[in-house]
Amino acid sequence: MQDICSYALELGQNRSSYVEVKAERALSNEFALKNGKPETSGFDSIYGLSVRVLVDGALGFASTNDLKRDNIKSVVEDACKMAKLASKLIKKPIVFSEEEKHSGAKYEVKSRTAFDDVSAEEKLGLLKSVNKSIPKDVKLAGNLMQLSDTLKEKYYMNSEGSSISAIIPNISFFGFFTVVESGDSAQAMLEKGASKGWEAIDEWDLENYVSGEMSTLKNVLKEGRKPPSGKMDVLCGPEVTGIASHESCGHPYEADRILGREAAQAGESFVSLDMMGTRIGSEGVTLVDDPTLENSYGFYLYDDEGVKARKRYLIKDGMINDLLHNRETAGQLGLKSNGSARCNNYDREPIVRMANTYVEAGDWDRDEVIEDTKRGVLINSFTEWNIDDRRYNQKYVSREAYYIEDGEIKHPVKKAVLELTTPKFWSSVDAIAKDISFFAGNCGKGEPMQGIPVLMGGPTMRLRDISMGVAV
Amino acid sequence: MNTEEVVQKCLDHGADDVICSWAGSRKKQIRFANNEITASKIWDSHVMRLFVSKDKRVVYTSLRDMDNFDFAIDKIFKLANVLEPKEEYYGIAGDSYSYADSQEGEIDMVEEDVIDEVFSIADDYRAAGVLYNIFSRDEISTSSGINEKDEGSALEISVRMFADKMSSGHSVSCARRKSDFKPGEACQEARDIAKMSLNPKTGTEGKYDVLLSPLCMGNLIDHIAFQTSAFYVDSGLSFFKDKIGENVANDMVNLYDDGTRKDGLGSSKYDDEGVPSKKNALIEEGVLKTYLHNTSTAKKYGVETTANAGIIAPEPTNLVLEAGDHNFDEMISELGNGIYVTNCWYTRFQNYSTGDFSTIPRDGIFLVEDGELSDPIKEIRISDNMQRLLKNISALGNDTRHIHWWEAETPCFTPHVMIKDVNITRSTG
Repeated sequence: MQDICSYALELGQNRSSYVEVKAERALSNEFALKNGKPETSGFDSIYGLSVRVLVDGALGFASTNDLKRDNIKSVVEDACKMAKLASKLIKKPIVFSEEEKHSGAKYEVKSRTAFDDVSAEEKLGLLKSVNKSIPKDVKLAGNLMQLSDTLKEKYYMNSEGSSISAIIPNISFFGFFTVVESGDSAQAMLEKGASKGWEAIDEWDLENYVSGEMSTLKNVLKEGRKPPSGKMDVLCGPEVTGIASHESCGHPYEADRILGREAAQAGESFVSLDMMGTRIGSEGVTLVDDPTLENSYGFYLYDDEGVKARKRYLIKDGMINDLLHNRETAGQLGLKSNGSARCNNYDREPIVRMANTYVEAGDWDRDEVIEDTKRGVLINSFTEWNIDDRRYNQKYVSREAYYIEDGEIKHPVKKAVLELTTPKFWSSVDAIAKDISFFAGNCGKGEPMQGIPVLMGGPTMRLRDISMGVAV
Repeated sequence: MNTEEVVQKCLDHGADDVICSWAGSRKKQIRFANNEITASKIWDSHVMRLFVSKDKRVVYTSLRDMDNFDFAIDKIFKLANVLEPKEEYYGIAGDSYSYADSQEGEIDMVEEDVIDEVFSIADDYRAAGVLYNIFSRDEISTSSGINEKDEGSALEISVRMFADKMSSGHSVSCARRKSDFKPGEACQEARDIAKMSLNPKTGTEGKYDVLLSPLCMGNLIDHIAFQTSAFYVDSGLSFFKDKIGENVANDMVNLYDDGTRKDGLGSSKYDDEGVPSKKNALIEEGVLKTYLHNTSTAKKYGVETTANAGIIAPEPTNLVLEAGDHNFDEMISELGNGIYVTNCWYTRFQNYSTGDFSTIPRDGIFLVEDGELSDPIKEIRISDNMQRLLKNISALGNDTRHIHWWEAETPCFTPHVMIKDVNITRSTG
């Protein structure tokens, strides 16, 4: 990998003011079970290279998986030619922020049990075991489960002297379940993900996780009542805190959205540069994005522009504190990158992305928050969700929710709807518990679409005096 | 090694069914925002896909690492020897077919000239978007004797114009031939919508008759068509389950999947099994006629393949919602009082098997009052049920557009569509 990257870098240096080269080799395995029966199994094998250059203030990018020297030469020429042509229309040259170089940096996430050391029978057997664990009294109208593992090796070089190699294993579980009960149905999309080896499977205890979720869904369908209406407190469980952190804090704090670079696709942001240091949430709300969480689904130590990763405080005690930057957005604003450039494969440009986004724990016990609530709804998990392209109006519909009265959980409720503006959501928080946990997801952004692994999480939070939305 | 030789190699290893395809493409993209080019890209991509079955044990792989070919063959057969049989596997296409001609070859275009035109039309507005010029070649060989090649090209622009932060319009132009590509018209349309949407007021929740633009319908039809795939029907991810032959939409609705359209971005000579592309009625006069099938899912359902392989999951090619006879002004007039939505995004289902969902209008949204376009509005959400929406379609435009963009992944031909009694919600605080 180093050889082909060096070759491409040398070719590009003669024709551009900046060049970076990235090579990637990956092997992914996938097993699936549909309605308890084995589906087609498979694997993907990737080895490719991309080149990104700056020529006269314009950005060019080219990639290939034909790694013969002649073709690599063509790819470098293509990137430089595209940039040169674009430079004729550029009014304001693109400038990357100046960053520390990291020469010969290496990191590897070691697997305790390598994916190759686990047989196909065992991998498929795990899904069958999960399927078997679903309680007999839960009626399923369909289920689809997938187990994927990937071992990815990356090599990065740039013309400023950085060279970084990384080896990262990645494992994920995805399940989609339709539970039928008492003439009604509900669906759950369950995900797990980590940057570690097969040992993740033991930690996830998928049988218990899935069977528990299925029993819960059945119970909500059987015992759930219409959600109460009017104003009340809403307790967001960690999964709901997590999705809100990602959707209405992580995304609007991406500097490329704020600067308009994603305007035609994922959109822009209600956050503007002059809002830095202003209040967006209640005191006590501190929200971070941290790629360095060991073995996390969004883990990395150097981003895809060779910048060292670090924890970012997006909101500190309710105040807008930091944005997510790559070298392009930081350069535009005269700042340093905070290592947020990610791409999902060798053939995609690095853009501003989240990694693991969460609300920091508070000092309440979860039970204390419930006991302190006179009338409210606890929303533990969600199904339908979305948010507008300025990240201002969000909606979460409950999968598992309960009515609380006089400090006690009374009964499950179906389809509790939270439909709020972002400032209202975060400024209504008045109690934050200690029970932090994380949930895996794949975040979509960029064109072509780059689905990228992330974690979302936080503790149980209480939002005061919320008008509930109305279910369909 | 060509695809035919790969198939033979797999047969020599004891495979029963083999499909090998090779696809190569050269794709150019120019991204722009704030009336500046933000990145210019070229992808040179080659991928070999290989499907093998042995005693109903099925393995599928995609290789973008050709140095790993021998390793891949070895791995396929190791897997095929230890996996359990797939009960619902019924084989691959086996007939000899005749095919249509390939579409036109590579399109010569100076992409920067198009971008120059975009910026010129934008003038004092902000333009953001993406331009593609794509050329792709592929070939397929199967153990049942299919050996065929195809090639094709496409031009696409997706452009969003901003009059200010809160006022924008979006449009696209998609074509297989340069003469059909109208980037200037798309830019002008996006700019016109942005201008009309200046100073929007916050919308109000309630039941409204709505008119949805082709861009908006492209997004919704993509979600609807996904649910006609037999794979997702079987997985519990479709409200069309057990509804073949039933009324699922208003009588005026005719929805086709048509992989044969010369002008469709999703067209090709054959599907992923080598079956010649077809035109299939998914919904005819409101009645659900078929699911999307490959050979194996079709045999399970006792029908013919619809030529929509997707070897694992059947998938749509070009979706065509048949036009009606109303022009735009007539539809606005007939709407009387309601809302006109020019675009939407982030469509998410609460429950695929019931169709409960919501989607968020974006770009220009307008009140319609007394049969005329009125004030722009903002910050509303369509929160409803897709089955109800299909049945409440009340008029179809005669203004079909070819839609494909970031939020409408399957190419689609659709006119404006009017729907009665749509539930609109908004943030409660």
